[in-house]
Parts: sequence; structure tokens; C-alpha cells
Amino acid sequence: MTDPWKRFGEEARHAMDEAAPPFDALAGRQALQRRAASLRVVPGPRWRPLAGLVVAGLLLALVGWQLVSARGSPDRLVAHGEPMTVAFERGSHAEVLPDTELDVVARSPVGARVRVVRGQAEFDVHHESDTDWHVLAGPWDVAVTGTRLAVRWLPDQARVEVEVHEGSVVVRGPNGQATTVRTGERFESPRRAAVVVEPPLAPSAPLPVDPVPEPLSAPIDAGTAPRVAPKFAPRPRPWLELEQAGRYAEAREAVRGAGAKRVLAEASADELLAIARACRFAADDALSTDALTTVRRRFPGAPQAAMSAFLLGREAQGVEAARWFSQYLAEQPTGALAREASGRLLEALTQAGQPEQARTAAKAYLERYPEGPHAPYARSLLEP
Amino acid sequence: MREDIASLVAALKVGSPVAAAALYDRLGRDVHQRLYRALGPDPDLSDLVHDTFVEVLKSIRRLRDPGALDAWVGAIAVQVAHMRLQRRRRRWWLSFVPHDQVPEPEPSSPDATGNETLRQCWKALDTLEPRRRLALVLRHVEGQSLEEGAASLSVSLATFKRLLRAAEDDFRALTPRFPALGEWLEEGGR
Repeated sequence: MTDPWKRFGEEARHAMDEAAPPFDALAGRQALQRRAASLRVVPGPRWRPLAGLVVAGLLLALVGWQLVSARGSPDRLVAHGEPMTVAFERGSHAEVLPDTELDVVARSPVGARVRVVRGQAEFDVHHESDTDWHVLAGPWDVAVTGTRLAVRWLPDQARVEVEVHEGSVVVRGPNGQATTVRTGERFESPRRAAVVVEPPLAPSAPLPVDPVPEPLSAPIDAGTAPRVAPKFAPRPRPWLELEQAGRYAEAREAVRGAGAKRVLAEASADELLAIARACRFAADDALSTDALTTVRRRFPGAPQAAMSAFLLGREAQGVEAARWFSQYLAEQPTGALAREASGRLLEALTQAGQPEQARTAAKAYLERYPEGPHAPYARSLLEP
Repeated sequence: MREDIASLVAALKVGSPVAAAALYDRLGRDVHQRLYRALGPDPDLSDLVHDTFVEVLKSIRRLRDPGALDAWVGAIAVQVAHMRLQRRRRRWWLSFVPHDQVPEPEPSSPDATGNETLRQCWKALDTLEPRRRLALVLRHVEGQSLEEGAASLSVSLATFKRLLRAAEDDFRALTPRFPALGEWLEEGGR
């Protein structure tokens, strides 16, 4: 006689696997690649003397493996709707702003070599005597020994812009010329000739840059020019490091401990999203929702506000979820999450008991994403 | 093959996004399948797959034997599923749903196969305490040995046996409410 549990297992496994939703490998792969780039890798201090050798060995293995797996290509990071943080050894990190592509050409225990393919990235490089850090942009090479700076590369104009918020860098051009750029200074290469704009700038003179989602910092006032740009001014944000370290419950506690209302009022849009993420994982749905609605209220029109609409929809049910997903689609009709929002809108409308709206949304979904992960579901809604 | 996995693990430990993508290519589908079997329809399934891999990347430094990579990832998927089930129960509790009513799973796409037995199976599983549910799924649906199941659930072998026995008793007791399950538990055969 057959073991009934064995029979149950076979039947259940068969039925579950048939009913399982499709696996969207591409989207998941890309999302994980972006997340992996933001995870910090720090060798333990007790083994620092050996860490170099160990990491070097691992890097050799990595290089060999990458040659096989990625045909030697660098790690290409593309920030679409929201910025990404890339962590490097010794606590150095880069923030890749939206619509920016960054190649991590090489990384080592003492530094890294990254290339801004297009767009803008901001760097915070930890300084030690052997630091070996280079930011490449077109034919330009920015040697960084420990500083905070922003690098912008406009490939169509072959123009690089470097703004140093703290420390100094050496910019080398295609002809070998080297220019030292120090705190508060700005370097531009309008196609051919390089120009160093020494502070102070006239207060009313706008910086000659094209509009970008997060432009380089504002013009520096002659009399009150700070050594460090306000964006990088130190302020205690323990929850941010805790969130980045995956210690979500502690991050949430830190926000609560510091006074959630004040934190939400002062945090940037990206910080608010990080707080929402930590609270979601720490099962504090109320604070997560507060953080997201704060983004909507304080940063209307920003990509983070649209992202918040999507996340609010994901946390909501029925009519409310449908409203948030519709809002996201209205604000970001071709955004990175548009397909997912469109699919979830179908589910929300169905759950809300609005079959006609669900059918209309299903038709729209199939027109745009006939092979999308919600396509079978959309078709099922249109069946008589 | 072992060298490939060792290189992959080494690359993961130094934080290579390319390695992360390779790991996803290798195990993404398995994790997706395991989470679906453990949780049933869930609107956040793809997010949970992502969460699983993020946890893997964060804890990869603790993996001593690269050959245990697949089992390691599978165990983390079970942990993520466990957290998800606990979260669902908290929500049901907060929404004041009487405990004797069958709690609905979170909003989801309808079962594409129209399989009524499967629908009842999900409902029955939803009434089980999370660890008992996972023990039942790991042992009978995933086909894991008792030792593998205990490792996946991060409990002792004795505890796993106790959870499994309790889950089987609970599940059997539900068949009067979900009669279609009898097709699988008693009559069998596709």
C-alpha cells in the first residue's frame, strides 16, 4: 500500500509546479546585480595583515572566473529611476545618480578604478597613504587620494566636469597635462581646453552645466563658501548605515529613538526610501508608510516620489493599491517599474471587485507587455 | 565543477555583481520554486526571491564549504518563507479575523490550473503554524530527508520530527473542511 504522505507529496508537487507563476529571470537578475553592488565588503580588522594576501588571491580567482563568465567585461552598473550606492574596500563608496552608467573596471584592497560611461557619480574615498583610486571619464583620469567629489561625463559633448567638495585630486587629460583641483574648486573640459574655475564664483553666476536630476551643488557664495559642500556636511544618520548593513530592526529603532517625526522631516528622498525599506523588513508597516507618504509630500515630482507610490501600492490592498499603482504609472509611464505596476494594477482591481476596470487594464497590459509575467493572468481576465 | 563553484563563492565574497548574477542564474529558479511551494500564491513572490539572494550575499562570508552553496541558499529561502508566514499571521491577527475562520492567503492571482484540490490545499496549509507548515512541505512536497529538513529549518532532528508529526496531525484533521484533499491523502492517483 502506498504511503499516503508520499502520494500527497507527489500530487501536491505536480499541481504546485503547474500553477506556479512564471519566473522572471531577467528582471530578478538585474535587480540582484544592482543590490550586490551596494553591499559593503570589509575585511575584518584582526586579519588585516593577511587580508591583502587573501583578498588578492580571491581577486585572482574572481578575475579568472570573470574572464570565463563575462568575457573580461567590467561590472557595468546602470542607475535608472533611483541612485545606487556602490561600496568599496575601506569604507569608500560611490553614489551613482539616476541615468548614469558606471563601470567598475577593477577593485583592490587599496582602491579601485571606475569609469563614468555617462552621467554623474559622487565619490567618498577613504584616505590612507597607499590609497590608489582612479575615476575615468572619456580620456580623462582623475587620481583620487582621499576626498569627496563629483564627476560628470557628457559623452556626446566629450566633456568632463569634476567638483571637489573635500581634499584634492589630480586630473590628467588626453595630452598628459595634469591639473590639481582642491576643495571647493571645479574643473571643466569644454571639449578641448580645460578650465579650472577658482572660487569664489559670483553668487548669481549659474554653473554652466546641463540640467540633470541631481545637479552638482549650488554656486558657492564668495563670502560664505564652506569648505565642504552642504550635501556632504556631516550629520548623524546611524539608521542609514544600519539599513545598508541589513540590520533593519536596529535601523528602525534608531529612527524611532531619534524621533521619527524629526527624522522624516529632515531626511532626503533617498534616505526616506531607505527608512521605509528598513521598517518594512522590521515589520513596522506604520513607519514604513509614513516614510513613503513623506516622500510624496516633500518631494513631489521626484523619481523617488513615484517609487514611493509603487511601494505604497504594494503595501496596500484593493482600491487603495489600485490608486497607488495608477499614480505610479501616471508619473512614470515608462519607468523601470511600469510593467510590474501594470501587472499589480490588474490584481488590485480584481481584488477591489472592479472587473470592468480590470478588463480595461488587462487589455492595456497585453498591448504593452504581451509576454510579460502577468500576461497569462491578463488573458484570464479577458476570457468570457 | 567544484572549482567553478569555489571560484563563484570566492567572487561572491569579494562582492562581485557579476558573480551575484551568476548565482541568480544558477539558483534563481529553484528558489522561486521553493518559495512558491512553501507559501503558495503571493503577490510579493518575486520580491521574496530577491530578498533571499540579498540575504545570501550578506551572509556568504559565513559559508565555509563552497560545495554546500546550494543547500545554504535553500536554507535561507526557507528562513525567508518562515518570516513571510509569520508576517501574514501578524496581519491576520491585526485584522481581527476570527481564528476559526480560514484565513485567506494574501491577494494573489487565481490558480491558473483551476485545480480545486490545490486551492483547498493552500487554504489548509494557511491554517498551520508556520514551522509546522514548512516541515510538512519540506518533507513531503520537497521530498527532503528528515536530516535535510531539520537543517533547512535550522532546528534539531528531534524538533523537526515533532513539528512534522504535529503538522501531519493538523493537516489530516482538516480534511473534513477541505474534502478535496482526500483525493490526495486517501484515494490518490492522477
